[in-house]
Amino acid sequence: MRTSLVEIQVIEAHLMAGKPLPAGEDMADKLHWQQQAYEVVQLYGRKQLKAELDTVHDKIFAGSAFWRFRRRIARYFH
Amino acid sequence: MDAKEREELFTSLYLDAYPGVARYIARQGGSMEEAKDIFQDAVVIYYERLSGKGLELKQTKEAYVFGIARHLWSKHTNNKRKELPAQDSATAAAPGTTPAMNILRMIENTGRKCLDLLHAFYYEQKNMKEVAETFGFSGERSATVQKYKCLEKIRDVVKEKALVYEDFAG
Repeated sequence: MRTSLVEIQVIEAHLMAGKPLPAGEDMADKLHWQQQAYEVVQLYGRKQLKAELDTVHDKIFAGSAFWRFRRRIARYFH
Repeated sequence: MDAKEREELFTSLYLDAYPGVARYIARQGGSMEEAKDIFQDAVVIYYERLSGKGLELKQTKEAYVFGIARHLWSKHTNNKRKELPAQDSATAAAPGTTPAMNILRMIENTGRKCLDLLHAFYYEQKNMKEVAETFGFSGERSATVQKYKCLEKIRDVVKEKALVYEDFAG
């Protein structure tokens, strides 16, 4: 594995398991951007889940099978 | 948890937990759309806790989701109160968008494969063997190397794009 990837692996071990981080003048910067990358992956995961939830929502709120349920929910907002 | 199991979980939560959340938000003066958003956010948090370190529920899952939803609604109304009434429309973000979401949208267009791989490992918490099988790698070793290459790629794009969306730079 090339050096830059090993460095990512080391930063990950620091973030996930508290392993020591080697000294380096731009290490704090690399750590910061790697954390941001994980955040983007988490955001992507949440977006995927929301899409699955929307599918379930549409199934319940657009189909004919759950009309009693829908009527019950609609009453709360009137 | 696979997609089929998630669909079953989400359907049961909708049928059993959503009415309580919707009723609560309606009584607080919220709209049906707000109830949907708050409920879905609560389910996402519940799911992440469930699939993460394991969740030992001392209450039913419906009560747990309701508790999260109530907390989210409180945050939501506090944020609404803090919003400036006359925000500059030229600089205001579109509703529901954040700098991170804009960056994600760009990466979705250019690095979807990497996002899917990282998502499988970090979010769905599949092990490297499963990741290798799902994405057609010869073994765990090459999947691991690819994972770090993807992380490097996403990190670099995020860093570059964050200069455009300064709020995300933190």
